[in-house]
Amino acid sequence: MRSKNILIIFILSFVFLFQGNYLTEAFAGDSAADTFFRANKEYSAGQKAMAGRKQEDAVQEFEQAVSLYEQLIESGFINGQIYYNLGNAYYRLGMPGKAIMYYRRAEKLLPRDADIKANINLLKHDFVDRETIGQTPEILKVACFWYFYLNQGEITAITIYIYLALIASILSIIFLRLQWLKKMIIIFASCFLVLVITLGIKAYNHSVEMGVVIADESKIRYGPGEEFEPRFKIHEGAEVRIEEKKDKWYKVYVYVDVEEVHDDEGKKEAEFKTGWIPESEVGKI
Amino acid sequence: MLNVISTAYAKEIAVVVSVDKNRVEIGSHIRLTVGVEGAFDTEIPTLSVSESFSLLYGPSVSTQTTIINNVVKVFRGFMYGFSPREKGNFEIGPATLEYKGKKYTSNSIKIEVVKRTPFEGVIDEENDTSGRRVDINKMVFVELTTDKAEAYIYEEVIQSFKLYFQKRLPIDDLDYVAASTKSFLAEKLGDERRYEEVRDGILYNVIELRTALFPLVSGKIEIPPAKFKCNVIIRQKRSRGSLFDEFMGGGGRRYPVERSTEPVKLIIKPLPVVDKPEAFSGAVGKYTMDVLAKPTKVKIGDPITLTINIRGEGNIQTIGEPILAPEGMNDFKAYNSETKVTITDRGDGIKGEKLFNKVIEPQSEDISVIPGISFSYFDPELEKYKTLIHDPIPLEIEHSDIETPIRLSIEGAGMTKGQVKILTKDILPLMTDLYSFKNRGIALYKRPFLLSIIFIIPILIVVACIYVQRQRELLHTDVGYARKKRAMAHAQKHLSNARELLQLDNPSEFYVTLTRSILEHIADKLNVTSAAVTSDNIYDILEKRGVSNDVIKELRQCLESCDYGRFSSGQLSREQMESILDTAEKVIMHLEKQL
Repeated sequence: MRSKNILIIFILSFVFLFQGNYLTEAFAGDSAADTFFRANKEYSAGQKAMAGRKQEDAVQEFEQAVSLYEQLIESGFINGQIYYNLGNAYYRLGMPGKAIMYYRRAEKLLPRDADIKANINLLKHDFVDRETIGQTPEILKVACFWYFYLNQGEITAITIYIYLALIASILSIIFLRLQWLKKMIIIFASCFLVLVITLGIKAYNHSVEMGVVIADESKIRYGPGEEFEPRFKIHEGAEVRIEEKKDKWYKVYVYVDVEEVHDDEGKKEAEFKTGWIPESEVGKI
Repeated sequence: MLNVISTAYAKEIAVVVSVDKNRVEIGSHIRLTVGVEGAFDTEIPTLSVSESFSLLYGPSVSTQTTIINNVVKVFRGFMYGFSPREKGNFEIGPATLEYKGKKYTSNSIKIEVVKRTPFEGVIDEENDTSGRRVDINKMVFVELTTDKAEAYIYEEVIQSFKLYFQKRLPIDDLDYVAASTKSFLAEKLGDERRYEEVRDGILYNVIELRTALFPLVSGKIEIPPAKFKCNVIIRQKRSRGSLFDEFMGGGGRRYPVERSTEPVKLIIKPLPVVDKPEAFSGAVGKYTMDVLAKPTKVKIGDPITLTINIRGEGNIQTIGEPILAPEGMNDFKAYNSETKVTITDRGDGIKGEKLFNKVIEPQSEDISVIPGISFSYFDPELEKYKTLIHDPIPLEIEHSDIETPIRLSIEGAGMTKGQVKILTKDILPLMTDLYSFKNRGIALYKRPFLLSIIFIIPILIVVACIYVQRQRELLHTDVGYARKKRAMAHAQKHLSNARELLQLDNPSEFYVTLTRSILEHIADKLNVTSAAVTSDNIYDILEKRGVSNDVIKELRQCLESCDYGRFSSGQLSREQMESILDTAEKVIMHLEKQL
């Protein structure tokens, strides 16, 4: 009887640990929801003004919405909906680069949301530069669904719960000596291993800094400074991988198609596609 | 001269005279049959025969009943054998028959009697002028005819290919190649027809193949010859008579016969240009038109199905769609028609109907009628154009407040479905789900301290639990271990009792309890019974177990003090007793460590 009590106390204590974690986050919820609600209202008003051909009013409303959404983000409130809505507002204001930047942030938090993907595809369709980011095969998406359909936070939470379930199973074996629990331990241990590997891959991918060109047109230069010759130009919305930072310049790898890449086989593709861009012209995802 | 015996006349009485050949040598014989169709109970027909023929036998009577398509056909044959006596042209018949008060007369037959030529050796077919070749041609021949020599373009011309072979002639492996119809559209008219026909007095079995031809070009067109092949089965045993008598026998050698028809020349006239209606789309023949519209009470945008049925004779498959009056169609949206052709009769020409299902949608509330429908065709018999006009059909448009929905396809209309056109491309609306609007804050995976606690604490708990469980198992299973582990607890309990006895001022019990607590503690530690540990042997045992001499010395003093207290008459003071108790506690503590 005492053994069972130990087990129950162990499980409950960890459940409360997590609940407590969430409870602490809810303290500023009401005021944030109020700001979010107001920002949405501003956006809707802007859309109505746009439909009524009142261009100036619409711009004003959208700017107001943007300011409210950014206010929320600055206050430390992180939610995928804010990023998505902010992306929409920037798109309405004619800034598709920033819109993509926020959509990508939203996508990280809401990987299952189809609206975000639809908006990204729509915007990309109109961009000047053609991109060559490889699409993940559908079969891989199905086979490793948890990787593509869960964000890092969700995978972490599931990993912890699986870990606790594994520990609980081990404790049960120690105290209760139920042999069928051995199978459960094998299952939990396998899941735990897979999830830890997934987390590792996710963490690696998150460590790669990505950015979006937010200027209308941007020159990719041979070195970090105006004195270096431009190598090529890329346009708003083009996504880049940030590899290095020096002063106020980013060394980036671009995903757009570059003309001479395939003409010169002696050089690697990365050499052609890498260059320096001013920090102010790139928005970090 | 030409009598056709077919099931069509089966109910009427018919008398037919036929011979096996109409050219015969003097001294040879002909077989003559007087056939009566339609009755069994007739008298023998009277036959008039020239005196130049002598009767060899007959009449021998045969009867035959056949049922074809539920029509009973009865036939009674009276067979005679005649032998001509002199050369010349003769006429046999007609035969007459009186039956139920009516008189029936048959045809008559011309017979040519030629001089007898003796048969010597092998027949040279090419140089043979005796007429035997003629006989072959008469036994099996083919004919290609058309029902008209002149026709308009697209007009129906019925081509008939007839294969004649003498009755009872054993033939096999029939193979006929139809005439090429390059300049025509050809439609086969039913299955082959089989009947009997008397030609030049000889009874033939006839196979007729009929085809409806629709000329596609005008001018002088020739239908090329049709060919026919078969094998005539020749009896092996030869007789001295006519070579072709051998054909009449049963199984034997196969004699291939090949025939081809004469080409048929047709004059195809172009359609007149004068009075040609605008709606004319090439239909030639005779047609009628029915129109049905459903429903006739609709809202704007609702589909109305117009069913136009063109029925008649002619090349029904190729006729074009009837035309809706264009001036009335501005307010309608029309879709392509779906057509269905049904051939109803292939007997004496192509007859059938073509159904046009057309879907139209009214687009305005001002419409009151479906416009008139017209269909033009050329009638080759009257040699002029005709236009069928169907009056406009009244239509009631119901008022609808709802905007006309975009209709891309109509179920059942059989049209290809179209794709919806994207009107504008725009981003999707905002997310406004306040229920899931929670601060994700700093993600758990970004808090390494918390994560390490979460992962390390359970491991520590597991380790602790394993240790505790092992201890519990030892206490359950190893008595010595259990006693050793619990020795101190027991001792302390006894010491506590001793202290209480000291407080109660009960010295005798105090010393007993104190002594027992020390000895039982040692017994527990050594896992021996309490009786085995006495004041006499205890020091040796402890010494062997490696207990230090100081402790043994203290123990000895303590136990001796207790004995002194228990057994001496003089009582020790309270302070001395407390000192003994302290010493006992110290000794137990030392023993706990050293044992």
